[in-house]
Amino acid sequence: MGVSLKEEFYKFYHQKVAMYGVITMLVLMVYSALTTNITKNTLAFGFGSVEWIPIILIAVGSAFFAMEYSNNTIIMLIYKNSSKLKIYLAKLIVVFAYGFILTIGAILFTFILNWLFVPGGFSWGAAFHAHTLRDALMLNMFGEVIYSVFIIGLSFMLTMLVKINAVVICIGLALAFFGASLSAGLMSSLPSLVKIIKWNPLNMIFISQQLTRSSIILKSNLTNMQLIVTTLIYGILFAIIGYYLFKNRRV
Amino acid sequence: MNQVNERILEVSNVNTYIGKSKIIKNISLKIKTGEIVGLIGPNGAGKTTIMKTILGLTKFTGSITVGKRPITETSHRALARVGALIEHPAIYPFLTGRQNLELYARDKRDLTQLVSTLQMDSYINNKAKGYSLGMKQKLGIAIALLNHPQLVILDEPMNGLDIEATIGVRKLIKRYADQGTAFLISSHILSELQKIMTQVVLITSGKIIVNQPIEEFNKTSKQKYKVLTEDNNRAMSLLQKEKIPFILKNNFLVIDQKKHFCYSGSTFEK
Repeated sequence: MGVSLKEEFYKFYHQKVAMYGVITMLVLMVYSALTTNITKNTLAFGFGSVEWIPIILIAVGSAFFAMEYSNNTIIMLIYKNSSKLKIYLAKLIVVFAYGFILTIGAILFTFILNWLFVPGGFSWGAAFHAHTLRDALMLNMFGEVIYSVFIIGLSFMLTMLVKINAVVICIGLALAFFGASLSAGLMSSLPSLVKIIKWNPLNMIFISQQLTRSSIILKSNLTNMQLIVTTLIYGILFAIIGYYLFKNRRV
Repeated sequence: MNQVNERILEVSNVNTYIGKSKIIKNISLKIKTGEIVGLIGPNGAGKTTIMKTILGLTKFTGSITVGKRPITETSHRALARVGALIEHPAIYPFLTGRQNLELYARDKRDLTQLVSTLQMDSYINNKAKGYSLGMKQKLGIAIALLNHPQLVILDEPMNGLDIEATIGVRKLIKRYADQGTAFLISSHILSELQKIMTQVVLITSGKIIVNQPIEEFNKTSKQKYKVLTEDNNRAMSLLQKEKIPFILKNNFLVIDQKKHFCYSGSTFEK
């Protein structure tokens, strides 16, 4: 497993897409700082990074796996490794680690942007929805990390299923922009089925907002704990389905 | 160095399936230390599928052992000392040639020597995405030869190589074989490998039709029909249908004269 991880980190480090992901996130955060009226809410959500990181992860995660097929390196990868599970886990760990690094980067950059763009800067000890602003940022980033497990599992499963990187990215974008509202819309139009519909995977997208804004519970119909646990379960389930598809895919 | 005449690869009664169709039909094959086995057959004969099966990449029945350890679709431990180039070179275009090699190399000295022997020094530090077909092919061969493998499987390795590079690769294969590495090399052109192979395996429609030492093959295959046809594909499918061994060599179909001269009539023009 150690060798697989080392190889995957080596490839990931040299692949441009990882660097482009970081640059994209920073540019979007700066864009948000320049074009919106900066409020505590902007800071608590890391200048939009809470929403952008999952989208970057779906693009990077699918590209990182799909390139093995497009470069014909999958043959080498499979026959040189004693198990397909090691290959799959190594890739999963690398993309998750990348997501974690993006999160740390987003937190640090949020502090910098607050210092650069807000005259005097917001106090990180100021109150924000029953939390301090600092705690709210950390909680939202925690929610984003949990959501990353979901989104990476989904991206790996979709890559194995549809095999076309661009399609995976489009599905990821559609989910990010319309998923939560679609789920909320379904529940409001079918109130008698809320008890069932609230467990649908699209509803998990609320995790990126709900941890610091309790009013979102009215939309998601799930408690914070239910949301965290179910999001993790879905992420793991998608990853397992992705592995099953990978294991049985002909090279 | 490997022990002399040690059996490296043993393929016994292997059938390979893609979906429900049987692609490889009951093949058996043995390769010993230092042997260069040429797997010769027309396009679509099943050469690549046999190689993929040996590498545990397809579902199969029968048994395959490498260095006496079994290969299954899920267990590849026996392949630790096997190098391969299948279909296209397995290269990461965003890495340089050297980085591609470093990804798998256990010994950097081995890497430098390979680069020098294959005359890749001038471009090895460039990104692989800018390589020509021949350069990529050489890099793929170098990856397969890394870490002193017991067995090297090369699928059409001369594709895209110029004459000078082809001669260089042949010499390299010979040198590795002299040091004990066993080779299984596929080609649809017999003459490409005739000078270096020690054993010839002819395959058509997923079946082995000839498997003998090259000296024996050269002796028994002296009297042959060399046939030029207007439609090689049609002629080959007819020969396959009639289970008649043939080789496509320089656009000529080469058929055993003694057994099959009756086919020189209406079907082919001599």
